[in-house]
Amino acid sequence: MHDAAPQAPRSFLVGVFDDEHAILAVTRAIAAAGLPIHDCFTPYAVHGLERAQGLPRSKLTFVCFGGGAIGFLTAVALQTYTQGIETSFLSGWPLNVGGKPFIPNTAFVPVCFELTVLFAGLSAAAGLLLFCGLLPGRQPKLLVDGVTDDKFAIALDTAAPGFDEAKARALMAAHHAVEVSYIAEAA
Amino acid sequence: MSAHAPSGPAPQPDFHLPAPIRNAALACAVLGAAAFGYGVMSEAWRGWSNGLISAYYFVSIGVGAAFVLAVMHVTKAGWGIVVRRVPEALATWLPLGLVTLGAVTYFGMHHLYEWSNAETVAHDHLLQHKQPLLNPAAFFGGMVFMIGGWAALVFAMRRHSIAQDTDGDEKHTHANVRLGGIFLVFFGLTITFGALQWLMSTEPHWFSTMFGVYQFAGAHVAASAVIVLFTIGLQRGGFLPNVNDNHLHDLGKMMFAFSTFWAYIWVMQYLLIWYANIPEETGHYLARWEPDWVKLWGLNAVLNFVVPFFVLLPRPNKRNPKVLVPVACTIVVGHWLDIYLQVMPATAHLAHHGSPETVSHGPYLGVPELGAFLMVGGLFVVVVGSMLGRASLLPGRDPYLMESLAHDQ
Repeated sequence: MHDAAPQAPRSFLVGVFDDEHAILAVTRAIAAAGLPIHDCFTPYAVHGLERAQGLPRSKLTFVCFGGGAIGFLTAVALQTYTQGIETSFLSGWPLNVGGKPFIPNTAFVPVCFELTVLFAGLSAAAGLLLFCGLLPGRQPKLLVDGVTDDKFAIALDTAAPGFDEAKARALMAAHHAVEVSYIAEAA
Repeated sequence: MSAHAPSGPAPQPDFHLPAPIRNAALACAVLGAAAFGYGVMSEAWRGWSNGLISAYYFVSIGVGAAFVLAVMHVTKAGWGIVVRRVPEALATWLPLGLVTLGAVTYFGMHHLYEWSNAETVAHDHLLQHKQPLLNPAAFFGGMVFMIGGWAALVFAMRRHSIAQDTDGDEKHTHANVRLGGIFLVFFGLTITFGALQWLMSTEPHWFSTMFGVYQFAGAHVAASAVIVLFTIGLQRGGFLPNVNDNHLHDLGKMMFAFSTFWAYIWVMQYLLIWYANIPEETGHYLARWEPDWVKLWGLNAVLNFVVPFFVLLPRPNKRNPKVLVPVACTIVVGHWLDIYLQVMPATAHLAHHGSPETVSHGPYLGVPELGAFLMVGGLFVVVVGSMLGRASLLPGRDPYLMESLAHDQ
Protein backbone atom coordinates (compact mmCIF):
# COMPACT_ATOMS: atom_id res chain seq x y z
CA MET A 1 0.00 0.00 0.00
CA HIS A 2 2.87 2.33 0.86
CA ASP A 3 4.79 4.12 -1.82
CA ALA A 4 8.52 3.51 -1.78
CA ALA A 5 10.32 6.03 0.37
CA PRO A 6 11.74 8.75 -1.87
CA GLN A 7 14.83 9.40 0.25
CA ALA A 8 17.67 6.94 0.77
CA PRO A 9 17.14 4.64 3.75
CA ARG A 10 18.94 5.72 6.87
CA SER A 11 21.75 3.61 8.19
CA PHE A 12 22.39 2.74 11.84
CA LEU A 13 25.27 1.41 13.84
CA VAL A 14 23.62 -1.20 16.04
CA GLY A 15 25.16 -2.86 19.09
CA VAL A 16 23.51 -5.98 20.46
CA PHE A 17 23.85 -7.05 24.10
CA ASP A 18 22.86 -10.02 26.19
CA ASP A 19 21.42 -8.48 29.33
CA GLU A 20 19.80 -5.37 30.71
CA HIS A 21 22.75 -4.32 32.88
CA ALA A 22 24.94 -4.13 29.78
CA ILE A 23 22.41 -2.10 27.76
CA LEU A 24 21.96 0.32 30.65
CA ALA A 25 25.68 0.75 31.18
CA VAL A 26 26.47 1.20 27.49
CA THR A 27 23.58 3.62 27.00
CA ARG A 28 24.82 5.75 29.89
CA ALA A 29 28.38 5.64 28.53
CA ILE A 30 27.31 6.58 25.00
CA ALA A 31 25.12 9.41 26.25
CA ALA A 32 27.95 10.64 28.46
CA ALA A 33 30.32 10.58 25.48
CA GLY A 34 27.91 12.84 23.63
CA LEU A 35 27.12 10.43 20.81
CA PRO A 36 23.61 10.76 19.31
CA ILE A 37 21.41 7.82 20.34
CA HIS A 38 18.65 6.94 17.88
CA ASP A 39 16.82 4.45 20.10
CA CYS A 40 17.13 1.37 22.29
CA PHE A 41 15.28 -1.89 21.72
CA THR A 42 14.60 -4.30 24.56
CA PRO A 43 12.31 -7.31 25.00
CA TYR A 44 10.69 -5.70 28.05
CA ALA A 45 10.65 -2.35 29.82
CA VAL A 46 14.07 -1.81 31.38
CA HIS A 47 13.69 0.58 34.29
CA GLY A 48 15.92 3.61 34.07
CA LEU A 49 16.65 3.20 30.37
CA GLU A 50 14.61 6.22 29.32
CA ARG A 51 16.61 8.35 31.75
CA ALA A 52 19.89 6.83 30.50
CA GLN A 53 18.86 7.72 26.95
CA GLY A 54 18.06 11.23 28.07
CA LEU A 55 14.49 11.09 26.79
CA PRO A 56 12.23 13.95 27.90
CA ARG A 57 9.42 13.22 30.33
CA SER A 58 6.53 11.36 28.74
CA LYS A 59 3.54 13.47 27.79
CA LEU A 60 1.27 10.52 28.38
CA THR A 61 0.41 11.73 31.89
CA PHE A 62 -1.10 14.91 30.47
CA VAL A 63 -3.10 12.93 27.91
CA CYS A 64 -4.37 10.75 30.74
CA PHE A 65 -5.26 13.74 32.92
CA GLY A 66 -6.97 15.50 30.00
CA GLY A 67 -8.93 12.34 29.17
CA GLY A 68 -10.04 12.09 32.78
CA ALA A 69 -11.13 15.72 32.87
CA ILE A 70 -13.11 15.30 29.63
CA GLY A 71 -14.71 12.15 31.05
CA PHE A 72 -15.74 14.01 34.19
CA LEU A 73 -17.28 16.87 32.20
CA THR A 74 -19.00 14.42 29.86
CA ALA A 75 -20.59 12.67 32.81
CA VAL A 76 -21.81 15.94 34.33
CA ALA A 77 -23.19 17.14 31.00
CA LEU A 78 -24.85 13.83 30.13
CA GLN A 79 -26.56 13.50 33.48
CA THR A 80 -27.56 17.11 33.83
CA TYR A 81 -29.06 17.10 30.34
CA THR A 82 -30.90 13.78 30.56
CA GLN A 83 -32.13 14.47 34.07
CA GLY A 84 -33.54 17.88 33.75
CA ILE A 85 -32.40 20.37 31.17
CA GLU A 86 -34.97 21.21 28.53
CA THR A 87 -33.72 22.90 25.40
CA SER A 88 -35.65 24.08 22.41
CA PHE A 89 -34.46 21.38 20.04
CA LEU A 90 -34.06 18.41 22.37
CA SER A 91 -35.66 17.84 25.68
CA GLY A 92 -34.28 15.85 28.56
CA TRP A 93 -36.37 13.35 30.43
CA PRO A 94 -36.71 14.40 34.07
CA LEU A 95 -37.56 11.41 36.26
CA ASN A 96 -38.86 11.46 39.77
CA VAL A 97 -36.67 8.91 41.54
CA GLY A 98 -37.67 8.44 45.14
CA GLY A 99 -38.60 12.11 45.46
CA LYS A 100 -35.01 13.20 44.92
CA PRO A 101 -34.26 16.48 43.13
CA PHE A 102 -34.16 16.30 39.35
CA ILE A 103 -30.47 17.18 39.31
CA PRO A 104 -29.17 15.29 42.34
CA ASN A 105 -25.44 15.98 42.59
CA THR A 106 -25.04 13.10 44.99
CA ALA A 107 -26.31 10.54 42.51
CA PHE A 108 -23.96 11.95 39.89
CA VAL A 109 -20.88 10.96 41.87
CA PRO A 110 -20.58 7.30 40.81
CA VAL A 111 -21.18 8.06 37.13
CA CYS A 112 -18.70 10.96 37.19
CA PHE A 113 -16.17 8.70 38.87
CA GLU A 114 -16.64 5.86 36.41
CA LEU A 115 -16.53 8.02 33.29
CA THR A 116 -13.44 9.84 34.60
CA VAL A 117 -11.67 6.52 35.10
CA LEU A 118 -12.90 5.13 31.78
CA PHE A 119 -11.86 8.15 29.72
CA ALA A 120 -8.53 8.49 31.53
CA GLY A 121 -7.74 4.81 30.97
CA LEU A 122 -8.80 4.70 27.33
CA SER A 123 -7.07 7.96 26.46
CA ALA A 124 -3.86 6.75 28.11
CA ALA A 125 -4.01 3.52 26.09
CA ALA A 126 -4.81 5.37 22.86
CA GLY A 127 -2.10 7.95 23.57
CA LEU A 128 0.44 5.21 24.15
CA LEU A 129 -0.35 3.58 20.80
CA LEU A 130 -0.26 6.96 19.08
CA PHE A 131 3.07 8.02 20.62
CA CYS A 132 4.58 4.64 19.74
CA GLY A 133 3.31 4.90 16.17
CA LEU A 134 1.36 1.67 16.56
CA LEU A 135 -1.51 2.71 14.33
CA PRO A 136 -3.82 0.11 12.77
CA GLY A 137 -2.34 -1.48 9.68
CA ARG A 138 1.17 -0.44 10.49
CA GLN A 139 3.73 -3.21 10.38
CA PRO A 140 6.92 -1.94 11.98
CA LYS A 141 10.12 -3.57 10.79
CA LEU A 142 12.54 -4.69 13.45
CA LEU A 143 16.08 -3.41 13.15
CA VAL A 144 17.44 -6.47 14.89
CA ASP A 145 16.03 -9.95 15.30
CA GLY A 146 15.84 -11.08 18.89
CA VAL A 147 14.94 -7.77 20.57
CA THR A 148 11.49 -9.17 21.18
CA ASP A 149 13.07 -12.30 22.60
CA ASP A 150 16.31 -12.11 24.59
CA LYS A 151 18.49 -9.44 22.97
CA PHE A 152 19.04 -5.80 23.92
CA ALA A 153 20.07 -3.40 21.19
CA ILE A 154 21.11 0.23 20.91
CA ALA A 155 21.03 2.04 17.56
CA LEU A 156 23.05 5.12 16.61
CA ASP A 157 22.07 7.18 13.58
CA THR A 158 25.15 7.35 11.38
CA ALA A 159 23.94 10.54 9.70
CA ALA A 160 23.33 12.44 12.93
CA PRO A 161 25.76 15.21 13.88
CA GLY A 162 28.33 14.10 16.42
CA PHE A 163 28.38 10.49 15.28
CA ASP A 164 31.83 8.96 15.76
CA GLU A 165 32.09 5.37 14.63
CA ALA A 166 35.39 4.55 16.29
CA LYS A 167 34.29 5.90 19.66
CA ALA A 168 30.94 4.13 19.48
CA ARG A 169 32.49 0.81 18.52
CA ALA A 170 35.03 1.10 21.32
CA LEU A 171 32.31 1.78 23.94
CA MET A 172 30.16 -1.09 22.68
CA ALA A 173 33.10 -3.47 22.74
CA ALA A 174 34.01 -2.33 26.26
CA HIS A 175 30.51 -3.31 27.39
CA HIS A 176 30.72 -6.76 25.82
CA ALA A 177 28.56 -6.29 22.77
CA VAL A 178 27.79 -9.65 21.21
CA GLU A 179 27.44 -8.04 17.81
CA VAL A 180 28.06 -4.60 16.27
CA SER A 181 26.97 -3.96 12.72
CA TYR A 182 25.63 -1.43 10.24
CA ILE A 183 21.98 -1.92 9.52
CA ALA A 184 19.98 0.04 6.99
CA GLU A 185 16.44 0.96 8.00
CA ALA A 186 13.98 -1.22 6.15
CA ALA A 187 11.80 0.83 3.85
CA MET B 1 13.45 -5.37 38.32
CA SER B 2 17.09 -4.64 38.76
CA ALA B 3 18.44 -1.75 36.76
CA HIS B 4 21.77 -1.10 38.36
CA ALA B 5 23.66 -4.08 39.67
CA PRO B 6 24.53 -2.97 43.21
CA SER B 7 27.18 -5.07 44.88
CA GLY B 8 25.41 -5.01 48.25
CA PRO B 9 23.61 -2.90 50.81
CA ALA B 10 25.15 0.17 52.36
CA PRO B 11 26.35 -0.55 55.91
CA GLN B 12 23.41 -0.44 58.30
CA PRO B 13 23.96 1.69 61.40
CA ASP B 14 22.44 0.58 64.70
CA PHE B 15 19.34 2.49 65.71
CA HIS B 16 18.32 3.31 69.24
CA LEU B 17 15.50 5.69 70.00
CA PRO B 18 17.36 8.91 70.86
CA ALA B 19 16.95 9.88 74.51
CA PRO B 20 15.55 13.37 73.73
CA ILE B 21 12.80 11.89 71.57
CA ARG B 22 12.02 9.20 74.13
CA ASN B 23 11.90 11.71 76.97
CA ALA B 24 9.77 14.11 74.97
CA ALA B 25 7.36 11.30 74.08
CA LEU B 26 7.19 10.18 77.70
CA ALA B 27 6.60 13.76 78.81
CA CYS B 28 3.77 14.01 76.26
CA ALA B 29 2.31 10.79 77.60
CA VAL B 30 2.44 11.99 81.20
CA LEU B 31 1.10 15.47 80.46
CA GLY B 32 -1.49 13.92 78.17
CA ALA B 33 -2.55 11.51 80.90
CA ALA B 34 -2.95 14.43 83.28
CA ALA B 35 -5.06 16.31 80.73
CA PHE B 36 -7.05 13.16 80.04
CA GLY B 37 -7.63 12.71 83.76
CA TYR B 38 -8.74 16.32 84.00
CA GLY B 39 -11.09 15.74 81.07
CA VAL B 40 -12.65 12.70 82.72
CA MET B 41 -13.09 14.52 86.02
CA SER B 42 -14.57 17.68 84.56
CA GLU B 43 -16.78 16.21 81.83
CA ALA B 44 -16.77 12.44 82.04
CA TRP B 45 -18.43 11.63 78.72
CA ARG B 46 -16.03 13.90 76.86
CA GLY B 47 -12.97 12.49 78.56
CA TRP B 48 -13.91 8.89 77.84
CA SER B 49 -14.94 9.70 74.29
CA ASN B 50 -11.48 11.07 73.67
CA GLY B 51 -9.98 8.01 75.31
CA LEU B 52 -11.89 5.83 72.84
CA ILE B 53 -10.96 8.04 69.88
CA SER B 54 -7.25 8.01 70.70
CA ALA B 55 -7.04 4.36 71.69
CA TYR B 56 -8.90 3.24 68.58
CA TYR B 57 -6.85 5.63 66.45
CA PHE B 58 -3.57 3.97 67.38
CA VAL B 59 -5.02 0.46 67.21
CA SER B 60 -6.14 1.24 63.68
CA ILE B 61 -2.66 2.47 62.76
CA GLY B 62 -1.10 -0.64 64.28
CA VAL B 63 -3.42 -3.00 62.47
CA GLY B 64 -3.14 -0.97 59.25
CA ALA B 65 0.64 -1.39 59.43
CA ALA B 66 0.12 -5.11 60.08
CA PHE B 67 -2.03 -5.25 56.95
CA VAL B 68 0.68 -3.54 54.90
CA LEU B 69 3.24 -5.97 56.31
CA ALA B 70 1.07 -9.01 55.54
CA VAL B 71 0.44 -7.79 52.00
CA MET B 72 4.18 -7.29 51.51
CA HIS B 73 4.83 -10.88 52.60
CA VAL B 74 2.00 -12.44 50.62
CA THR B 75 2.83 -10.60 47.41
CA LYS B 76 6.57 -11.18 47.98
CA ALA B 77 7.00 -7.46 47.43
CA GLY B 78 10.64 -7.11 46.44
CA TRP B 79 10.66 -3.32 46.54
CA GLY B 80 9.72 -3.03 50.18
CA ILE B 81 12.41 -5.12 51.90
CA VAL B 82 14.44 -2.05 52.90
CA VAL B 83 11.45 -0.36 54.58
CA ARG B 84 9.77 -3.50 55.95
CA ARG B 85 11.07 -3.07 59.50
CA VAL B 86 9.01 0.13 59.84
CA PRO B 87 5.53 -1.45 59.48
CA GLU B 88 6.87 -4.42 61.43
CA ALA B 89 7.62 -2.14 64.37
CA LEU B 90 4.42 -0.09 64.04
CA ALA B 91 2.35 -3.26 64.21
CA THR B 92 3.94 -4.24 67.52
CA TRP B 93 1.79 -1.54 69.12
CA LEU B 94 -1.15 -3.94 69.00
CA PRO B 95 -0.73 -5.60 72.47
CA LEU B 96 -0.61 -2.19 74.16
CA GLY B 97 -3.35 -1.06 71.81
CA LEU B 98 -5.48 -3.86 73.24
CA VAL B 99 -4.68 -2.65 76.78
CA THR B 100 -5.48 1.01 76.06
CA LEU B 101 -8.63 0.32 74.05
CA GLY B 102 -9.76 -2.27 76.61
CA ALA B 103 -9.13 0.11 79.51
CA VAL B 104 -10.97 3.14 78.12
CA THR B 105 -13.94 1.11 76.92
CA TYR B 106 -14.11 -0.80 80.23
CA PHE B 107 -13.98 2.22 82.51
CA GLY B 108 -15.87 4.56 80.21
CA MET B 109 -18.39 2.03 78.94
CA HIS B 110 -21.52 3.73 80.27
CA HIS B 111 -20.50 7.06 78.80
CA LEU B 112 -19.72 5.57 75.41
CA TYR B 113 -22.22 2.84 74.73
CA GLU B 114 -25.93 3.20 75.26
CA TRP B 115 -26.33 -0.57 75.05
CA SER B 116 -24.26 -1.09 78.20
CA ASN B 117 -27.02 0.39 80.31
CA ALA B 118 -29.37 -2.42 81.35
CA GLU B 119 -32.22 -0.02 82.11
CA THR B 120 -32.09 1.53 78.65
CA VAL B 121 -31.97 -1.87 77.00
CA ALA B 122 -34.97 -3.03 79.00
CA HIS B 123 -37.07 -0.36 77.29
CA ASP B 124 -35.55 -0.65 73.87
CA HIS B 125 -36.62 -3.48 71.64
CA LEU B 126 -33.91 -2.88 69.06
CA LEU B 127 -31.12 -2.96 71.63
CA GLN B 128 -32.53 -6.19 73.07
CA HIS B 129 -32.44 -7.64 69.59
CA LYS B 130 -28.79 -6.63 69.19
CA GLN B 131 -27.76 -7.92 72.60
CA PRO B 132 -26.04 -11.10 71.43
CA LEU B 133 -23.33 -8.90 69.91
CA LEU B 134 -23.64 -5.76 72.00
CA ASN B 135 -23.04 -6.96 75.53
CA PRO B 136 -19.93 -6.57 77.70
CA ALA B 137 -18.88 -10.22 77.49
CA ALA B 138 -19.04 -10.33 73.70
CA PHE B 139 -17.48 -6.88 73.50
CA PHE B 140 -14.39 -7.58 75.59
CA GLY B 141 -14.11 -11.25 74.63
CA GLY B 142 -14.23 -10.23 70.99
CA MET B 143 -11.70 -7.47 71.55
CA VAL B 144 -9.20 -9.85 73.17
CA PHE B 145 -9.77 -12.45 70.46
CA MET B 146 -9.46 -9.99 67.56
CA ILE B 147 -6.61 -7.72 68.64
CA GLY B 148 -4.90 -10.65 70.36
CA GLY B 149 -5.12 -12.65 67.15
CA TRP B 150 -3.71 -9.79 65.09
CA ALA B 151 -0.87 -9.29 67.58
CA ALA B 152 -0.03 -13.00 67.69
CA LEU B 153 0.25 -13.17 63.89
CA VAL B 154 2.26 -9.93 63.77
CA PHE B 155 4.77 -11.18 66.31
CA ALA B 156 5.00 -14.54 64.54
CA MET B 157 5.83 -12.77 61.26
CA ARG B 158 8.32 -10.54 63.02
CA ARG B 159 9.99 -13.51 64.71
CA HIS B 160 10.56 -15.21 61.36
CA SER B 161 11.75 -11.98 59.79
CA ILE B 162 14.33 -11.34 62.52
CA ALA B 163 15.44 -14.98 62.69
CA GLN B 164 16.31 -14.71 59.02
CA ASP B 165 18.80 -11.93 59.82
CA THR B 166 20.93 -14.54 61.60
CA ASP B 167 20.46 -17.76 59.65
CA GLY B 168 19.51 -16.42 56.21
CA ASP B 169 17.19 -19.42 55.74
CA GLU B 170 14.58 -18.92 53.05
CA LYS B 171 12.11 -21.08 54.98
CA HIS B 172 11.30 -17.92 56.97
CA THR B 173 10.18 -16.20 53.77
CA HIS B 174 7.85 -19.11 52.97
CA ALA B 175 6.55 -19.16 56.54
CA ASN B 176 5.77 -15.44 56.36
CA VAL B 177 3.88 -15.87 53.10
CA ARG B 178 1.65 -18.39 54.89
CA LEU B 179 1.31 -16.28 58.04
CA GLY B 180 0.56 -13.20 55.98
CA GLY B 181 -2.19 -15.09 54.14
CA ILE B 182 -3.71 -16.26 57.41
CA PHE B 183 -3.54 -12.72 58.77
CA LEU B 184 -5.29 -11.23 55.73
CA VAL B 185 -8.23 -13.63 55.95
CA PHE B 186 -8.50 -13.28 59.73
CA PHE B 187 -8.17 -9.51 59.50
CA GLY B 188 -10.75 -9.17 56.73
CA LEU B 189 -13.35 -10.88 58.90
CA THR B 190 -12.45 -9.36 62.25
CA ILE B 191 -11.98 -5.70 61.28
CA THR B 192 -15.66 -5.59 60.38
CA PHE B 193 -16.72 -6.85 63.80
CA GLY B 194 -14.14 -4.70 65.54
CA ALA B 195 -15.26 -1.51 63.81
CA LEU B 196 -18.87 -2.44 64.44
CA GLN B 197 -18.48 -3.16 68.15
CA TRP B 198 -15.99 -0.46 69.12
CA LEU B 199 -17.07 2.46 66.97
CA MET B 200 -20.40 1.89 65.25
CA SER B 201 -22.08 0.77 68.46
CA THR B 202 -21.64 4.27 69.89
CA GLU B 203 -24.81 4.78 67.84
CA PRO B 204 -26.41 1.40 68.48
CA HIS B 205 -29.59 2.16 66.54
CA TRP B 206 -27.71 3.09 63.43
CA PHE B 207 -26.25 0.58 61.01
CA SER B 208 -24.16 0.78 57.89
CA THR B 209 -23.08 -2.23 55.88
CA MET B 210 -20.10 -0.23 54.63
CA PHE B 211 -18.72 0.47 58.07
CA GLY B 212 -16.17 -2.34 58.25
CA VAL B 213 -14.58 -1.55 54.91
CA TYR B 214 -14.81 2.16 55.74
CA GLN B 215 -12.72 1.68 58.86
CA PHE B 216 -10.36 -0.63 57.00
CA ALA B 217 -9.75 2.04 54.37
CA GLY B 218 -9.11 4.68 57.03
CA ALA B 219 -6.73 2.40 58.92
CA HIS B 220 -4.77 1.57 55.79
CA VAL B 221 -4.32 5.12 54.59
CA ALA B 222 -3.41 6.36 58.08
CA ALA B 223 -0.92 3.52 58.54
CA SER B 224 0.60 4.35 55.13
CA ALA B 225 1.02 7.96 56.23
CA VAL B 226 2.65 6.96 59.51
CA ILE B 227 4.96 4.55 57.66
CA VAL B 228 5.96 7.46 55.41
CA LEU B 229 6.64 9.71 58.41
CA PHE B 230 8.73 7.11 60.26
CA THR B 231 10.62 6.11 57.11
CA ILE B 232 11.51 9.68 56.20
CA GLY B 233 12.41 10.47 59.82
CA LEU B 234 14.74 7.48 60.04
CA GLN B 235 16.16 8.23 56.61
CA ARG B 236 16.88 11.83 57.63
CA GLY B 237 18.69 10.55 60.71
CA GLY B 238 20.85 8.37 58.48
CA PHE B 239 19.39 5.13 59.80
CA LEU B 240 17.96 3.91 56.49
CA PRO B 241 20.89 4.38 54.09
CA ASN B 242 19.40 1.91 51.62
CA VAL B 243 16.10 3.73 51.18
CA ASN B 244 15.96 6.12 48.24
CA ASP B 245 13.40 8.09 46.26
CA ASN B 246 12.18 4.97 44.46
CA HIS B 247 11.05 3.41 47.72
CA LEU B 248 9.46 6.67 48.82
CA HIS B 249 7.67 6.76 45.46
CA ASP B 250 6.00 3.44 46.22
CA LEU B 251 5.02 4.55 49.70
CA GLY B 252 3.63 7.75 48.19
CA LYS B 253 1.64 5.73 45.67
CA MET B 254 0.22 3.63 48.48
CA MET B 255 -0.87 6.76 50.34
CA PHE B 256 -2.36 8.23 47.16
CA ALA B 257 -4.21 5.08 46.17
CA PHE B 258 -5.70 4.38 49.57
CA SER B 259 -6.65 7.97 50.17
CA THR B 260 -8.71 7.65 46.99
CA PHE B 261 -10.07 4.31 48.18
CA TRP B 262 -11.07 5.88 51.49
CA ALA B 263 -12.92 8.64 49.64
CA TYR B 264 -14.66 6.05 47.47
CA ILE B 265 -15.91 4.19 50.54
CA TRP B 266 -16.77 7.43 52.34
CA VAL B 267 -19.00 8.51 49.46
CA MET B 268 -20.49 5.07 48.92
CA GLN B 269 -21.53 4.72 52.55
CA TYR B 270 -23.28 8.05 52.25
CA LEU B 271 -24.83 7.20 48.87
CA LEU B 272 -26.42 3.96 50.04
CA ILE B 273 -28.06 5.78 52.90
CA TRP B 274 -29.02 8.76 50.78
CA TYR B 275 -30.70 6.58 48.12
CA ALA B 276 -32.72 4.56 50.58
CA ASN B 277 -33.58 7.51 52.83
CA ILE B 278 -34.63 5.37 55.80
CA PRO B 279 -34.91 7.31 59.08
CA GLU B 280 -32.90 4.72 61.06
CA GLU B 281 -29.97 5.30 58.76
CA THR B 282 -30.17 8.98 57.90
CA GLY B 283 -30.03 10.02 61.57
CA HIS B 284 -26.31 9.45 61.55
CA TYR B 285 -25.76 12.06 58.86
CA LEU B 286 -28.39 14.49 60.14
CA ALA B 287 -26.57 14.61 63.48
CA ARG B 288 -23.34 15.51 61.70
CA TRP B 289 -25.03 18.11 59.55
CA GLU B 290 -25.98 20.19 62.54
CA PRO B 291 -24.43 23.62 61.99
CA ASP B 292 -21.90 22.92 64.74
CA TRP B 293 -20.52 19.79 63.14
CA VAL B 294 -20.98 20.21 59.42
CA LYS B 295 -17.80 22.19 58.86
CA LEU B 296 -15.72 19.43 60.39
CA TRP B 297 -17.70 16.91 58.36
CA GLY B 298 -16.64 18.67 55.18
CA LEU B 299 -13.08 19.20 56.44
CA ASN B 300 -12.81 15.43 56.87
CA ALA B 301 -13.10 14.89 53.13
CA VAL B 302 -10.65 17.72 52.39
CA LEU B 303 -7.95 16.38 54.71
CA ASN B 304 -8.32 12.72 53.81
CA PHE B 305 -9.00 13.00 50.11
CA VAL B 306 -8.81 16.37 48.35
CA VAL B 307 -5.40 17.41 49.64
CA PRO B 308 -3.64 14.03 49.25
CA PHE B 309 -5.22 13.39 45.86
CA PHE B 310 -4.30 16.61 44.13
CA VAL B 311 -0.93 17.07 45.83
CA LEU B 312 0.24 13.52 45.18
CA LEU B 313 -1.09 13.33 41.62
CA PRO B 314 2.14 14.45 39.86
CA ARG B 315 4.94 11.92 39.87
CA PRO B 316 7.72 14.15 41.31
CA ASN B 317 5.65 14.93 44.41
CA LYS B 318 5.44 11.26 45.33
CA ARG B 319 9.24 11.11 45.40
CA ASN B 320 9.86 14.33 47.32
CA PRO B 321 10.08 14.04 51.13
CA LYS B 322 9.32 17.76 51.42
CA VAL B 323 5.91 17.09 49.86
CA LEU B 324 5.30 13.65 51.36
CA VAL B 325 5.74 14.78 54.97
CA PRO B 326 3.08 17.55 54.94
CA VAL B 327 0.64 15.30 53.08
CA ALA B 328 1.24 12.45 55.52
CA CYS B 329 0.67 14.88 58.40
CA THR B 330 -2.59 15.99 56.77
CA ILE B 331 -3.76 12.38 56.61
CA VAL B 332 -2.65 11.70 60.19
CA VAL B 333 -4.81 14.61 61.37
CA GLY B 334 -7.60 13.69 58.96
CA HIS B 335 -7.82 10.12 60.25
CA TRP B 336 -8.16 11.41 63.79
CA LEU B 337 -10.96 13.72 62.65
CA ASP B 338 -12.61 10.81 60.85
CA ILE B 339 -12.86 8.79 64.08
CA TYR B 340 -13.71 11.88 66.12
CA LEU B 341 -16.71 12.55 63.87
CA GLN B 342 -17.97 9.03 64.40
CA VAL B 343 -17.68 9.05 68.18
CA MET B 344 -18.15 12.60 69.42
CA PRO B 345 -21.60 13.56 68.05
CA ALA B 346 -22.91 10.18 69.20
CA THR B 347 -21.58 10.29 72.74
CA ALA B 348 -22.50 13.96 73.12
CA HIS B 349 -26.05 13.02 72.24
CA LEU B 350 -25.96 10.14 74.70
CA ALA B 351 -24.60 12.34 77.48
CA HIS B 352 -27.25 15.03 77.01
CA HIS B 353 -30.08 12.71 76.17
CA GLY B 354 -33.40 13.89 77.49
CA SER B 355 -32.16 17.29 78.62
CA PRO B 356 -31.77 19.38 75.52
CA GLU B 357 -31.32 22.57 77.49
CA THR B 358 -27.99 21.29 78.81
CA VAL B 359 -26.66 20.35 75.41
CA SER B 360 -23.41 22.18 74.95
CA HIS B 361 -23.07 22.24 71.25
CA GLY B 362 -20.01 20.91 69.49
CA PRO B 363 -17.52 20.72 68.11
CA TYR B 364 -15.48 19.96 71.16
CA LEU B 365 -11.85 20.78 70.58
CA GLY B 366 -9.64 21.55 73.52
CA VAL B 367 -7.47 20.20 76.29
CA PRO B 368 -9.20 16.80 76.72
CA GLU B 369 -8.95 16.13 72.97
CA LEU B 370 -5.26 16.98 72.82
CA GLY B 371 -4.51 15.29 76.14
CA ALA B 372 -5.95 11.91 75.24
CA PHE B 373 -4.17 11.99 71.89
CA LEU B 374 -0.81 12.87 73.45
CA MET B 375 -1.23 10.25 76.16
CA VAL B 376 -1.65 7.35 73.76
CA GLY B 377 0.54 8.90 71.07
CA GLY B 378 3.46 9.38 73.44
CA LEU B 379 3.30 5.74 74.48
CA PHE B 380 3.00 4.76 70.84
CA VAL B 381 6.20 6.58 69.90
CA VAL B 382 8.10 5.09 72.84
CA VAL B 383 6.96 1.53 72.10
CA VAL B 384 7.43 1.69 68.33
CA GLY B 385 10.74 3.53 68.70
CA SER B 386 12.18 0.95 71.06
CA MET B 387 10.86 -1.90 68.89
CA LEU B 388 12.66 -0.32 65.92
CA GLY B 389 15.86 -0.50 67.95
CA ARG B 390 15.39 -4.18 68.85
CA ALA B 391 16.45 -5.46 65.44
CA SER B 392 18.51 -4.25 62.51
CA LEU B 393 16.51 -1.82 60.37
CA LEU B 394 17.64 -3.78 57.30
CA PRO B 395 16.48 -7.37 56.82
CA GLY B 396 20.01 -8.04 55.61
CA ARG B 397 19.60 -11.66 54.50
CA ASP B 398 16.20 -11.53 52.92
CA PRO B 399 16.28 -13.32 49.55
CA TYR B 400 14.65 -10.31 47.86
CA LEU B 401 17.12 -7.81 49.30
CA MET B 402 19.03 -7.23 46.07
CA GLU B 403 15.78 -6.64 44.20
CA SER B 404 14.84 -4.02 46.77
CA LEU B 405 18.23 -2.29 46.61
CA ALA B 406 18.05 -2.08 42.83
CA HIS B 407 14.45 -0.86 42.86
CA ASP B 408 14.12 1.74 40.15
CA GLN B 409 11.10 3.34 38.56
